[in-house]
Amino acid sequence: MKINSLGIASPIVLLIIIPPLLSGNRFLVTVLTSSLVFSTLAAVYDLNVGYARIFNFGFGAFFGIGAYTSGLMSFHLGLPGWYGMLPGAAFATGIGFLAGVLTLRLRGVYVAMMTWFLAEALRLVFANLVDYTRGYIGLVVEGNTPLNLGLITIDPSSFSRLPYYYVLLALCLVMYFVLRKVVNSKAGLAFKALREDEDAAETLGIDTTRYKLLNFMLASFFAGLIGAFYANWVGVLTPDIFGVTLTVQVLSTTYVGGRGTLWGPMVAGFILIPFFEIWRPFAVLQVVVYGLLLIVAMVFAPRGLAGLITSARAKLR
Amino acid sequence: MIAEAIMQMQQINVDPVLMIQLLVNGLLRGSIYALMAFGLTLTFGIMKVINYAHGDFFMLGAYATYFVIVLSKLDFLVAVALSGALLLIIGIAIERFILRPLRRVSGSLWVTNAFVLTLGLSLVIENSVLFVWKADARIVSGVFPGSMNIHGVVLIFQRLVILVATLLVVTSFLYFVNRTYVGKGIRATSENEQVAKTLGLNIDFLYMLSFGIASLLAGLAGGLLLPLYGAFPSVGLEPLLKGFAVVLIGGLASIRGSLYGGLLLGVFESFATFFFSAGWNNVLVVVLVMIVLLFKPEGLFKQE
Amino acid sequence: MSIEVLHVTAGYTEENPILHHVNLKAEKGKVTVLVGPNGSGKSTLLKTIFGFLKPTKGRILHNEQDITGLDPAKMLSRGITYVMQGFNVFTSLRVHENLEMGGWILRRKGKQLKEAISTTYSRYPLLETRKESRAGVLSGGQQKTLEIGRGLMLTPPTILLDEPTAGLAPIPSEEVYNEIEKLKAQGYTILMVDQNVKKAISIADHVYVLALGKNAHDGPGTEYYANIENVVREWLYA
Repeated sequence: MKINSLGIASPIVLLIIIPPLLSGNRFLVTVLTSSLVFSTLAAVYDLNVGYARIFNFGFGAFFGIGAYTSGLMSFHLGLPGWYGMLPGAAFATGIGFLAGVLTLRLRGVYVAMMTWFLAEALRLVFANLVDYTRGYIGLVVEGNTPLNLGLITIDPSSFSRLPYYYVLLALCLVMYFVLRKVVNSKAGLAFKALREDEDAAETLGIDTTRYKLLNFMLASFFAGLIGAFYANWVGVLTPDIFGVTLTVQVLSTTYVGGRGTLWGPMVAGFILIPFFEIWRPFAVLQVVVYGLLLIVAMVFAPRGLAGLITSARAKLR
Repeated sequence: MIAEAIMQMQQINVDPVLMIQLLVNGLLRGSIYALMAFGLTLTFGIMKVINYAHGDFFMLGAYATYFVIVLSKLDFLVAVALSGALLLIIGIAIERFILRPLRRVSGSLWVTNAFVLTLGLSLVIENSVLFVWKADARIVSGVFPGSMNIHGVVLIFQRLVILVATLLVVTSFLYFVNRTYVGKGIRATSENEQVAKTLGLNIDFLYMLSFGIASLLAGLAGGLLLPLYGAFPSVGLEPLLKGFAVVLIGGLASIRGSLYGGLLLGVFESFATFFFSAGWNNVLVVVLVMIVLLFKPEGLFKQE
Repeated sequence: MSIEVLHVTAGYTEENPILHHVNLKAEKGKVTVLVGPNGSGKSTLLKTIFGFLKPTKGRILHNEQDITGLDPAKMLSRGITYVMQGFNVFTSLRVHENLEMGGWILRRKGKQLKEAISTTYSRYPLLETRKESRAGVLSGGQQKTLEIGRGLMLTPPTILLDEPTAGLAPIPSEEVYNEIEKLKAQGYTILMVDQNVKKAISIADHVYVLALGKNAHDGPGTEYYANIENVVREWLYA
């Protein structure tokens, strides 16, 4: 679906200029950052579930490994959290590769089962190895060291936490565009072929193994990167991030936003997260709403928000 | 950690008293796992639904039993039976009003769609309960207190009662599914729905009944374990995970696999927990499932 | 009871019908055989008659009553049974229990059910000797006999048969054809799809040839039988 360049540029411009205008308001910047995290995660997840129909129910594992790598490096080695970003993404990619290998011969829901159990295994291991990971006590990550990039210094300890936001924004923009490129490339076509009919794709000479692994590794790299960022931004980690709760929130956002579009999940994230942050008193109901939206989306709007918007635009022509 | 385990094993030798107690414990866990697995097998076999909300039925059973006991002072077993009845109705309602409409519009993607749907359902149920009743665990005490001592083997009444009740439910279910007309109808439909239709079987009715029974079984399990686990919103998570582990190892559509797998897992865990801490034996179970999925995804038992 | 298919167009999707304006009449108490090349829509026609597919055009009558698009689960109580292609016994149930499934509609009438079962056993004594065996361990021919016995538990006057001898060795096949002739002698109406053209035509009262989803030809069985080599050549290698 082609969005004209104004459609892409305007939200980006908004995202860039609004935050300094709010620089007094730490809460709103936090909300924006949070939205960006989940929206991008949802877009990355779309690569798995929307473009290749890989039912990754262990997505939290990629995110978690990225987060914990960065966190553990900071905790044990005393390094500033930023150093952990690339290693975090690297280890996450390793787990992504593992997930791909484990699910190679599996189909449909069984992929969900395997990835779910993989993530559970990681969660339990990290929870049990309390001596190394602090388990459920919580791993504190010191991310507040300034990052000196030569010309500019990003000082995260500034009150408004604006630097975090901009680092993340830059990261997410790059990730989104890379995802777009991938999805429009030969690899993207291969993914779509996998989605439609894996057997047919094989007979057409598409190396399904290679592309399944590629899909997992790409998704895990990005998720790991965001995870590493998240560790530094939030400051505390528990093994629950490996678990189903996070995966399910991302999954819901992607489903509600519209699978197979990349932009749908991002839009959904930017609507859902602020909505929940603002209605904090009902935070507990947040997950209920995710659940209801998921059910409603599945029954009434299988193509998600993106689908609704697209058909609305078509009708308005 | 491993060194400790070995030391413990050497200390124990083979103490028959301990073995018996671990066995009884294992049978208790195992039969609960079997109940959870039966429910999952039932719904997958006949409707191809992998029910992620199954653990929430367990949880609702626990809460229902709690409230019946606390509000009406009825006997424990009566309370369990009543909450079972409630869960039966809830299950039937969910099938009729949520699953059936989705099934009509889903076509070939039903299996994965249904899983995601039950996921959404689980979120709604669990977090609504969290919202209404908060996260504190509800506990009941004084259920069949006391214990007896037979030749040094200490048997706690409560556990014995729960074990017997659970085995009763297990046997009743097996009787239902193997000897009653409707139970056989459910098995027939699971095997070949088209042919079942040609013989005039009422598929919609059997679907509702199956989902209702699955819900009933989970609810009974939750109620029976109330004295041991208590009732709190996420009490169903571990039974769900273990239930899935059993059916993935035993075979998603095999009732025998659920029975043997459940009992075996329960006994295995009981002994393993003694030597390893609970956290690690869970990892063991999870890894076991992954191994089975890798080499024999259809499970170790044939479909029935 | 007779079956009449009147100008039926049907398929798995609306845009792609497999059957086009098909007409067929299966006379009461006779054996009507439907043959044709692979993919001509024969099985699809049976499925449409039984309600698994709903026709977009045309009507289907059974005993002069309109059964177009009726739910398959209601067909048996209307007096039509359908023995599907391939092996369709419930393998995890015993022989005895398979028959019980056949009598599902009678499940609350214990006495009638028992009588139906013993009648079935007297017709097919083989089933009685194996009644406690799981259906899955029976041989091909035995399974087919079970399927037929199961389908006839409620003695529906009309029988749809889809390639009843597919996958069977020559001797069991022969037994199936003998059984079909016996059923005809007992007054059943039989509509049968078959690839075993020569044999099927030899027991047919009337033959329909279907090609590419349309009626190609039909006529009395004797006519076709006399001309059997030409029939096979002309219509079936089309």
